[in-house]
Amino acid sequence: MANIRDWIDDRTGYRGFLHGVLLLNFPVDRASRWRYVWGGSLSILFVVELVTGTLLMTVYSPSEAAAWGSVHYIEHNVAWGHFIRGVHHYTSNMMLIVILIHALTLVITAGYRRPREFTYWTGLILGGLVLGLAISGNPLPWDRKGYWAYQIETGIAGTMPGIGAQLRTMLVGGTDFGNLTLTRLYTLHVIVLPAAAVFLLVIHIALMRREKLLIVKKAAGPLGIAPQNMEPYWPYQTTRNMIVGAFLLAIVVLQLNFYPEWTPQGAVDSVPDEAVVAITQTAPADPDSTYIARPEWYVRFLFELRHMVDKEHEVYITAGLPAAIVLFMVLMPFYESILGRKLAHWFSLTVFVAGLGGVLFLTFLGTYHDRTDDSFQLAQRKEIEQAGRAIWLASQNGIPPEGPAGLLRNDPQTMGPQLFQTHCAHCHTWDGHDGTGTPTMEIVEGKPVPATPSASDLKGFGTAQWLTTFLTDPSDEKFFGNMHKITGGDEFSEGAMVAWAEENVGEELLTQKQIQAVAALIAEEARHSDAAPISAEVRELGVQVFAGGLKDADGEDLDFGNCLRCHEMGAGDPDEVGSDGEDAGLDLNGYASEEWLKEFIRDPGGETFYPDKNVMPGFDSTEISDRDLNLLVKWMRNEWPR
Amino acid sequence: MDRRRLFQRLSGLFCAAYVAFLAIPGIKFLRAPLRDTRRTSKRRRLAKLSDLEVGVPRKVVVIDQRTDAWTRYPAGPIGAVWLLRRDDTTVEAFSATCPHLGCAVQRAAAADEFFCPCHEAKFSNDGTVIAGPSRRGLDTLDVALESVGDETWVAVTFDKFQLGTAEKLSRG
Repeated sequence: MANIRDWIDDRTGYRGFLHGVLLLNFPVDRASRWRYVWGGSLSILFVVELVTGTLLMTVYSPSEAAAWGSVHYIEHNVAWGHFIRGVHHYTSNMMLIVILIHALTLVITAGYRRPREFTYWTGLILGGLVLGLAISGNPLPWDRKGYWAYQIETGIAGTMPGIGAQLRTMLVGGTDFGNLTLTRLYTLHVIVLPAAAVFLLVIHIALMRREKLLIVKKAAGPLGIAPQNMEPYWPYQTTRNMIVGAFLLAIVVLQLNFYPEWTPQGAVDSVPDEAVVAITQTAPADPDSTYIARPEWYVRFLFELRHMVDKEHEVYITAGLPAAIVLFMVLMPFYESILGRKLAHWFSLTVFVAGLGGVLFLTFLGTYHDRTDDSFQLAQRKEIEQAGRAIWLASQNGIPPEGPAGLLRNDPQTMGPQLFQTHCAHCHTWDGHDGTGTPTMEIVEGKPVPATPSASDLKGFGTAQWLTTFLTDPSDEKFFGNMHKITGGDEFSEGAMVAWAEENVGEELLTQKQIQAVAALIAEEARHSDAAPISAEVRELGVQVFAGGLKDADGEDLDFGNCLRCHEMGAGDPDEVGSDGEDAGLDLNGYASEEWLKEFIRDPGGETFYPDKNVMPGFDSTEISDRDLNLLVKWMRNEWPR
Repeated sequence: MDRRRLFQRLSGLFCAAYVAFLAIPGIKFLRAPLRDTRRTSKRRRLAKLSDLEVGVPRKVVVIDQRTDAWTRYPAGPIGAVWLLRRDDTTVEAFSATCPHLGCAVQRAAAADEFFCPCHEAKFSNDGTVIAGPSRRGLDTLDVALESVGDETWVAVTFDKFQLGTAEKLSRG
């Protein structure tokens, strides 16, 4: 065996090459070995990133239509995909922390001093490259979080003095975000920055090796024997590096298992219980979406600072401060020539530690602000719900070829509340709020207060329960009670239905059971897919109330109910008597069904609705498109995929 | 074992651990799509019996939804089938994918046989090889006649097979 290795080494010199590349007999001071682990661990973590990154490349697709779907596929449909992606993401964060530790130990030991300046400077550039890799990697899933983060980052790039506009155009691949933005980002992340990092790492290590070998040569003396207090790098230092690296990777694995980015708190209504998973990507990017962006933790301090200065001085924070930090670090080797060795060292260390402390303080301040900001927390919760919904929809139906934005845009559960809020919430409420969970507000004496609605609450519209409550008291606030606020609305708030209820509902009048029966009969017209069928008994009782055939215990006629007098409804009129011409009320055939709702919303003053006393505006197809109307109505009827 | 040996062993151990940490999930990750054999063969109605003339082969394109990793395509072509009516009640179906290397099988211009232009394979009307490099004849597909109302439809179980083999093996 040994002969073969000698044979190859004789011809290639591979042993010398390996010693050079892997620092095999690189001499190290015995006393300080644990302090040196950080650089070595970074190299290990970097290799982990290269390998996991390459694996992810076999599935990820950098186009607007495919990026989100390919990441979803990795997370849910590829064996170990969640693991590989988690390692890749959390290791990048870990590298940033280890870089800070590495830099701190370096400043403490004054490792920037002659003759190590270039080792130091290549190290600084490497740190910047790793930061660039982290920043360029985050938007790649093209989800809302990444998309808006990159919008802001390229926006900041655009404010750079002088080169701003050009720089932003180069990054974005044009003026607006699109396919070219993603392909350029991908190029940066996958080849430009990694190649530069590998190149600089080689130089960084080569410079270290050269410097150390010169020291050893000088200290070795005339006989060429290495001093007693030095040991070869391998296996002593490498073992320590690998132990620390393994420890760091163990933290990464714990993070990816127990600390997913966002967790839905409790059950998310729009997603079946068994489908609630850790949210590892937010909803697909959508330029129309509103998103309250927050930067990653490592630049959070800049975010806090820029909100502390006024608009004109913002560029000092976004451009000036980072430039100042870089300049401070780059010039560190030169402070000695002004301040003397010891003072310069103390100065560098103090500014570095103070700066680090300030950054940490601002970072924690920022996260504290978020945690105590109610409107932000509410917006976050909505983001998580939408993300969960998008992830579930994608798992059920795949992604349409034109891209994932359609998943939510065509989902009644997502669009319904927004449409209700935009078009209906001026007058109506949905379970007391505007459809999206927030109460409608109005300005009273200059301050926003929750508004009183002027029309009915529509949650559960047309269901037996809603109808029962309505028939029991139509003048309640939840129904016609507030309509007097509108001109002509008193036709309802003091109209025929209210009068009917006064005469027919109450003690000694229609019982709850009878009201429930007729409500169930009318609710059948809506053909809700989740409605339970009614029994023959209830149907018979309901018809008796509707058509006025109620009898008491002795068989005497009771003149209660009699809906048929005013309201047409085939199912309540088995003898086909028909309603009177006078006092004609709403035609109840198909009441609250999908077709009925669509027609009604388009034209509430139409023939079969309220031709004489309508007070509700109609919404034609220029106000609500057919597509939007369909989404709204399906949501109102609780008919969306789950 | 002296200190140096111990450290060498430890180094080797950790190195192996790192390689396993990356290689085991990594190789499983890479092999995952290779094991994705969830496609179930469906029987689809392709043509009405009355539209087929006895002895005249007809090519029908199979239209269906298609899933490509994360993308779900709406109805589109997923393959093609040659239908050949033998008599009143028998229809044979051949996959229009050449069993040699996958090109689209056509009809020969001047002869009553099937012809694949890529490597000039020739197949007779019952699918057997006449000439050319294919190691097996045209792949037959299961056919059933289904009555829908007064019409009789020809329903075919479409499938894809491994290329270049002497045996007809389903690709799943």
